Amino acid sequence: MATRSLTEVYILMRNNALQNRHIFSEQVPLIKDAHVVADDRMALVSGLSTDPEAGIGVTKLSRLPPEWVDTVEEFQFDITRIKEKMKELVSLHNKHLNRPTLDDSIDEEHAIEIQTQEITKLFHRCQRLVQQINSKGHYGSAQEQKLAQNIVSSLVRTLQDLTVNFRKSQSSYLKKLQSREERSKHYFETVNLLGPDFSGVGPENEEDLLYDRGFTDVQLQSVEDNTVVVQQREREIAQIVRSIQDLNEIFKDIATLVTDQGTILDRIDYNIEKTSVQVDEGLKQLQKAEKYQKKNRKMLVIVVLAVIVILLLIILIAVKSHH
Amino acid sequence: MNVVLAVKQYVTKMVDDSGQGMKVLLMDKETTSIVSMVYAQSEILQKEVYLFERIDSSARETMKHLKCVCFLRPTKENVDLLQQELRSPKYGLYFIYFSNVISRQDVKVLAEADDQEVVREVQEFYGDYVAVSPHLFSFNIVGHCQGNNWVTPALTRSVQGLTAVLLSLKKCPMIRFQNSSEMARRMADNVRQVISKEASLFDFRRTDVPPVLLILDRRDDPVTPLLNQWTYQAMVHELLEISNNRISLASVPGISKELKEVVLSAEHDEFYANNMYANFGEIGVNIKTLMEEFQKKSQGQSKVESIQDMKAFLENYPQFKKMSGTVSKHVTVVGELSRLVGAHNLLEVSETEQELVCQGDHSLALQKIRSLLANDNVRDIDKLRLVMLYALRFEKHSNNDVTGLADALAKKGVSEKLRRMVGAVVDYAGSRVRSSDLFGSKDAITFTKKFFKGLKGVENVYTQHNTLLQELLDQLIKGRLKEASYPYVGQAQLRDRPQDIIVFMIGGATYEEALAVHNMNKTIPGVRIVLGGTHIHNMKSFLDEITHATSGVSRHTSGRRW
Repeated sequence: MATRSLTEVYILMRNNALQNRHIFSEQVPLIKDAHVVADDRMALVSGLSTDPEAGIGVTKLSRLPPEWVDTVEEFQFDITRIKEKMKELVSLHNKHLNRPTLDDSIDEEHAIEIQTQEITKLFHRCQRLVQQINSKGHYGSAQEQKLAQNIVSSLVRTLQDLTVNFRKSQSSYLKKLQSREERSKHYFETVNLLGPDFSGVGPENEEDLLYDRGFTDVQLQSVEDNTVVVQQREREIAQIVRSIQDLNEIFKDIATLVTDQGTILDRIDYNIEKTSVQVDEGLKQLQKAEKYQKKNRKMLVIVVLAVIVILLLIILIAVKSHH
Repeated sequence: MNVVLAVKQYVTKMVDDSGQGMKVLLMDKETTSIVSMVYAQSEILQKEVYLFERIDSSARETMKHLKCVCFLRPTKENVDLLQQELRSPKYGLYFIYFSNVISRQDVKVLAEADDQEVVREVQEFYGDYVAVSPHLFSFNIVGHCQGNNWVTPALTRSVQGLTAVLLSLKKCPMIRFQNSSEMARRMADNVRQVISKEASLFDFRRTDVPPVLLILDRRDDPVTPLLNQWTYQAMVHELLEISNNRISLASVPGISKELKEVVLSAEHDEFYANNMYANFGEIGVNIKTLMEEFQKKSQGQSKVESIQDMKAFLENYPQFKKMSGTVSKHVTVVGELSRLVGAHNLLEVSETEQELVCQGDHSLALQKIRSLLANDNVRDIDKLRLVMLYALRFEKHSNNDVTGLADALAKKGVSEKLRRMVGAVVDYAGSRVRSSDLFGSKDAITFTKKFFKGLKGVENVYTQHNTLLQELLDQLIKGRLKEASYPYVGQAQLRDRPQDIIVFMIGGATYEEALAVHNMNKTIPGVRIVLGGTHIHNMKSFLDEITHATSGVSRHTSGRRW
């Protein structure tokens, strides 16, 4: 992969060219020394047109970047934050899973919960931003629309990759949590009393208790203890499931915006050709419209003339018959 | 020695070097193809390139908040257009990359136009060719010659392209060329001149064995582009035509709108990458497994009952969607291929072709061709193919009946334009022009080789043919390629077995040859071969090439009327 840089040569040449131009523009008035007044004005005018600043100023005024440019930056900032937070979350997960303490530290779980919620919130924000760009992108010129469209599809892809990652890490955490649960079941056999179904912990539980009245106090005590533990786990799992569901919604919303990878729509040359064809078609339509209009005008003239001729004929006949 | 990677690295580098922020990629017609072959749009969008424009497009608007990455060929028109662009810049900053060596004069012209100092970077990045596969490149030129001489723009373009290939692969090769071809000699000389003129550029780290550049002429092997093909890529090109990895399926009956045009790119399509060199039978089997896999997945997808299922579904949805796209694409393409094969008796036609070329029993071949010419299902182009191959194969045969076959073509209503090709191909690449022993009748060794091969029996009657290129490369690798027929440019000579070989085919390469090169790369350890051509031919484009080459040239074989 050989390359060659011509930048230095280029800049040297550009500086030379600029210097030459200055010298040249200074020399012009000297040559035409006689018409001092006229020359002054000429220098002013030409100075204005060669002044680079002036040119930039004018174009800047007329062409502000579209307002969604800031939104894009905001989005990118949020994405970096999501990435950081996800890293933190993963390490928290690992800590929680690999060092199961007997006291079931509530703090850790709490931290995980907060972190998860924050990430979900950020995802929501990002999705909102994308939709903002998407809706704002429909205004402006054709090229700005195209630009916005491309940006949206790129941002959506980033977002999608991230959500997929996040969801994967969440569900793997969930799986590990559940498998730990199962393992713990082996140790506390009494959990089986709750029946195979976990979902109806509340009322069923009471029924079970009513039914199994014949237990000793110790047994009852252990069942109650387990119930508390199970309920807590249940809450935890429900929380994670909810966060996944939330993400699914985002996912569904943005899935429609993704370009189809690997298809013809994903070819650069195809898209360029398509726009140029559109421009050509537009031109053709315009020409057609112009033709129609011209035809219409001709038609109008013909009709007017015909009416005049008929009128004149009637007048002629009327005049003749009066005679 | 991977040309796709080389071009991709260039594009990546120019995009990365321009730093953060929104970018527009400004290209010309040719660089658009070059970039499109290596980068998918979604891929490059991730690098903050959000807009793609042609420099000759008039509908561009001013967007000062974008950085402009220009990737252009150093042509006169491009320099003019760029000069206008710099006088009234539409974008904030410019990073200019030329795909080849640009003259200092042109740089000066640009520097003088840049009053507003918007240009940050001017560089030469030698991605000046269309990288079709890792070992295959093309310049997409049809009509490279008239008579026996280069058309000047085509020569310039080819030399530029070939030196760019050398530079992008960092090779400063020894050059060998086909002695019988004046065009090969001229091209070799020109490449040599560029290398010595830009000696500082070609100053790479010396390897033990220097790379070899072999320049060949299509005229030595006119048979390969005339044959029907049975490997996936080659077959698609022959029957549906691949242009820059894009295939138009618009002619397929009952095609859905989103499949009117499809992309077959080994870079972005795993199934294609695994099967592009498989033969038609294998593809049938592979597509069946793909289909089954897909069905299993889609059944799994259809029952979404629990939260668990939903999760699994959404996790796999992107892959699923991608897979469904791939499946429908390949099923459509293969379906169309098999429809064509069935409808036009291609199996029979191909068998006859192969026997004609590889065995050469005159009376048997003639009989078979006659019966196929009478068959109404056989396409005109296949009939022509057979007669052209016959004319080449039995050019010197005493009982040759080309006139009779040409009459049969006429009777079947084959157009005058096509019928003229029979004579044209003999003018273009008849035995008078060829230097090598294409049909293996002169040389005793090849003759015995063929005899033994005949005894062993053939594995597959549709793929008996071996390309001449393969034979030449084999000889080159073994160090047996005759110096009289393929001399070196300059004094130096290669003593060792060559390792890195770049072959360039003036007049266009074919996918059959690409397959041969691919197999050699895979089976011969320590040898890396890259193949290139002015074009990648199928029968149709090869006919255009011949028409172009023989038009406006007086027929050598006067008095012969077919």
